Amino acid sequence: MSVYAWAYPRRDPIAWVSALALTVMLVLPITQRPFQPRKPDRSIEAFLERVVDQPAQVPPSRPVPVVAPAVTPPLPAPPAAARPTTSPIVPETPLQPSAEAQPTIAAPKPAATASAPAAAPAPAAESRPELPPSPVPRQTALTSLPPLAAVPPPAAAAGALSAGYESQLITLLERNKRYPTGREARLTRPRGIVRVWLELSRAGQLQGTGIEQSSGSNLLDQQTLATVRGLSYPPFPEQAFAGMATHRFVVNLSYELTN
Amino acid sequence: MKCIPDRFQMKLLASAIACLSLSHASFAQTTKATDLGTVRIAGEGDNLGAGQMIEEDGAKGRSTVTKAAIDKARPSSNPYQLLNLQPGVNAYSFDATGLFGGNLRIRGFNSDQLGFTINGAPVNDSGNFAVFPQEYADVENLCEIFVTQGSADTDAPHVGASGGNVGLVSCGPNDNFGGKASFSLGQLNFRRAFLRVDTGAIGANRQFKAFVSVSHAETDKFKGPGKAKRDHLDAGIEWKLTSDTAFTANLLYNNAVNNNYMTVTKAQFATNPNADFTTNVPQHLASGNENTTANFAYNNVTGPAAYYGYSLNPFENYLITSRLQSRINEKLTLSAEPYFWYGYGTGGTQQVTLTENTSSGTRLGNGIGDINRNGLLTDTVGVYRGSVTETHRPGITLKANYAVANHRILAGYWFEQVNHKQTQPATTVDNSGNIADLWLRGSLVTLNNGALYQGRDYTTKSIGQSAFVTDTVSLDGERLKLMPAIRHTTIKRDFENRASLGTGLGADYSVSRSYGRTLPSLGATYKLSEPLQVFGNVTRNMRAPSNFVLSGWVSAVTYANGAVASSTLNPNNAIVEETSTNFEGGLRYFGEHFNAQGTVFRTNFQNRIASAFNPTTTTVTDYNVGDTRMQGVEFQAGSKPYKGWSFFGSATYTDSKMLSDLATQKSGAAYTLATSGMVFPDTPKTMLAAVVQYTEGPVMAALSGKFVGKRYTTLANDEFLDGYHTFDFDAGYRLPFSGWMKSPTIRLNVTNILNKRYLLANSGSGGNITTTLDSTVRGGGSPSYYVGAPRFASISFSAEF
Repeated sequence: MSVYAWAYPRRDPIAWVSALALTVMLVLPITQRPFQPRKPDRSIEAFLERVVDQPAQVPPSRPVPVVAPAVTPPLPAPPAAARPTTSPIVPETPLQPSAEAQPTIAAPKPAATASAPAAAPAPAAESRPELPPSPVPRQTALTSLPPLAAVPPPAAAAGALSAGYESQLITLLERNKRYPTGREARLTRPRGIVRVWLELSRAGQLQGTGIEQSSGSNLLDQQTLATVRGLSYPPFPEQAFAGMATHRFVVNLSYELTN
Repeated sequence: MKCIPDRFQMKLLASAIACLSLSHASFAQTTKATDLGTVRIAGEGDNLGAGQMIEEDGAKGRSTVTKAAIDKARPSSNPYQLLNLQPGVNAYSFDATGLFGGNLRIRGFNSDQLGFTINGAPVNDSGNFAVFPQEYADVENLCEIFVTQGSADTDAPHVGASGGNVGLVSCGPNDNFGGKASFSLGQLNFRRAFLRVDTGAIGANRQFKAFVSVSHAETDKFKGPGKAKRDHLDAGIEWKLTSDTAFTANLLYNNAVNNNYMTVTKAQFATNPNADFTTNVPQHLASGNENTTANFAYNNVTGPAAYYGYSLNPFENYLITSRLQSRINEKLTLSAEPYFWYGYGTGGTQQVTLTENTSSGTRLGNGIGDINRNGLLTDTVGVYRGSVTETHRPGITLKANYAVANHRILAGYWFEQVNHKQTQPATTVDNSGNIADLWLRGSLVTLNNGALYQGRDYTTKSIGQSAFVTDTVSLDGERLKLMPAIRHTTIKRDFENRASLGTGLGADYSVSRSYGRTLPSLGATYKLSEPLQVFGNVTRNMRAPSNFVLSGWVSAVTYANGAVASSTLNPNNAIVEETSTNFEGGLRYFGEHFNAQGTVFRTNFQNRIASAFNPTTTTVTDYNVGDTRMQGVEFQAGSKPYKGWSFFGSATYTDSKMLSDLATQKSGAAYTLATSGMVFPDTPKTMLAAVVQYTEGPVMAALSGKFVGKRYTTLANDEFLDGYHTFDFDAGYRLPFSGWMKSPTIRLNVTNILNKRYLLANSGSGGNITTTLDSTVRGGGSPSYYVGAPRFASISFSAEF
């Protein structure tokens, strides 16, 4: 009785303290535990739904990844001679699962400007007044590329650069992907995988895009095309996709909903 | 290795990564198109603002509560509770479980000025646009709730949405066979059980899936005697007829019998914060007048309150929604979305006395017959009388989505025909508090000529239509989007009154009224830079008046031989469509660690209709309160999980102002009430809301808080309620054992952990009451309020199989 009499006027602070204590009790033991990778078990999805955007948020820990190749080549100006130097870096980049590499790549624009100035000093800078994202302008590509093709770089090196570029594209998509938000989309809740192609010039200009395989939902297909059209793409690293004025990429965009 | 996702997200991620690696590895060998693998786009989840936010990118202020947030709430929650942290939203429920319903305001607009849909079908009451959130869905089957603050969606089927719209979206059936069970227990004898079974995808092409779920919930009132009981059934099917054509359908059935909470004036609350209806059963007399405080009279605030058992809200309703959608080609998608709503229920003031009449030709039906069967026609007898509403409401929306060049065009047409019958019969009660038929379907009081006694008896047939076109034009490489839209929305009401004993309803009459407007809107979004977007829109909205402005037009009625001999009809034409023009602009930030959105709005509101139940006159009254303007700022931010921590917060500042004085009556004579410059009732200037959540492995804990500022409760601003704040705590723990059960989870939900006591303005789209100062002014008197629910805790156990 007397306990009650004492407690009743103090019920607010008591409630506060108990709620906080409860929170701390629940939270503290877990924060102390060493981090363990979550088991790939569906109950996690059902319970917390927290892994959803994993690719974009996983690791702020990987240093100098894919952008690096674009920066290194310019230092030695002659392209052919320089190429070998890139190869040491190469193994690192392609081996990283791109999903992991993504977060470290800064915004795509910075990436583009980082590579552009780097590329600029490399060949004689005649035909590059101010178009930033164009190490090899499109028209001159045909003339300037043959030498490259004539002295093909070690396949591994070129492949690595290309792979690096690909992960930049993935990063770009990861950062800009969006489930459609209009009323129609929220009501019909479409799901499906859109297989979309996009063709880029060496300067990173979108030459064309289209649906290779529809998701079955025009809403998702259109959202996908809008996403692809809305991006600013970085230029190709000089040695990537050697011999090609444009290159075509295909990607699956999988729109999912957790019920 | 398969490169298509399955439902296990981690596996999926892993497979996506693996697919990417594969594509990289294989690149060197190919010079054709490079396959970049799979990028996953999740429509929702806990990855932003603890599930209280999605990455909106449209031209309107719009907020979405996702499944991730819904799953953390108490399983009996109603949609108002789930929406409460969103910017602009001022929601409350009559109790903590949500089973009794509640009220919602957004930017000062009341729930009956907002268009509500479930799966695209309108669910506002067809007559007065009232919303009963506790009826609609079980949270386990609810996938998201979205709200547009201020601007109704052009393609939404609303004639009563002057202040935006709210949509509830059901989850479809699951792909895999299984089920879910959930049990809750709490204070106040709160109990709830839920069971759902999914067929999983079946058929040769896995083209068919379905689910069915049932639930039962009940709880006692936190003050006064009585309880809420609710039985609910949801079912859904999804049937892929061809690869391009699909049919989905949902059924939502609800049956609830709730005792009402008694509203109290400030004075009553000060005297006894738990004042409520009584358990004393009113007693009949062998004969004579029972309209005495010793018997059935209650209708004065100083006397004993009414018997709780006669203040009920039984309601049964079902809603069938469906969609047949066909993708004709890569540009065109057609859909047809038929729906049917049925509702039946009673409410209102139910403990009343009726006076028998000796068979007299000068009364309708020769007067009320012998209610208590004592052989006399001279008694005044206590009865249970409810306002019965029965609605049959079929409708359909047809839509065509067409994409051409940089245009995405959505055109459509909505049509519905509502048969809305409103009656007020009475039935007998005994001395133990038993009601002969609480649904008022049988054992009804009759008149001397054998006809049913009715306090009101009218049918409104409404035809609602809307034709709409919206276009989304993408310009400047998708940076700029323009969204012009227009709709023409009409409602035609054929109101038929059959003579009843209600005031102003004594003679048959029919009246037809049409309301309609052409409502344009223009929206735009512009991507300033990678993480920054500006958006804005101008939208016209319209709300037709309630159907009861067409009732009560009869005066000076006389009867001969029990039938109407003469009468006068006094049309009420003062109430017209209320229209609003909403201007909105804002900035969105899509960051690596958090997203944020700020919105500035201004709403010009013409012929605003304010309505409320007036306990002094026990009538619901509509006022045309003239023009109002509201302006304000809303802000919301949601973080992405960082080491398990997530945050969501919203802030709302609303400045509302009435622009004209109210022309009304005082003691029967014309009178002008000074309302110009006053703040609109129940529209707080400031609201703040936040949730902090921690999840790690099997544990989730979230603390949420809400502050609602001072609210005026009369049009004359001569009474107000102080601001209040509440905190809620939600936690969950996934048990570390499996077997046939998946995700066995225990949840704790504590509402109002500080046990704050506060008052809430009564529902109604304007103010409760015009003024407290002078009760001779029409609508004057002391407003009555709901009492905020005290601390309430419940635990729930759920598992899937």
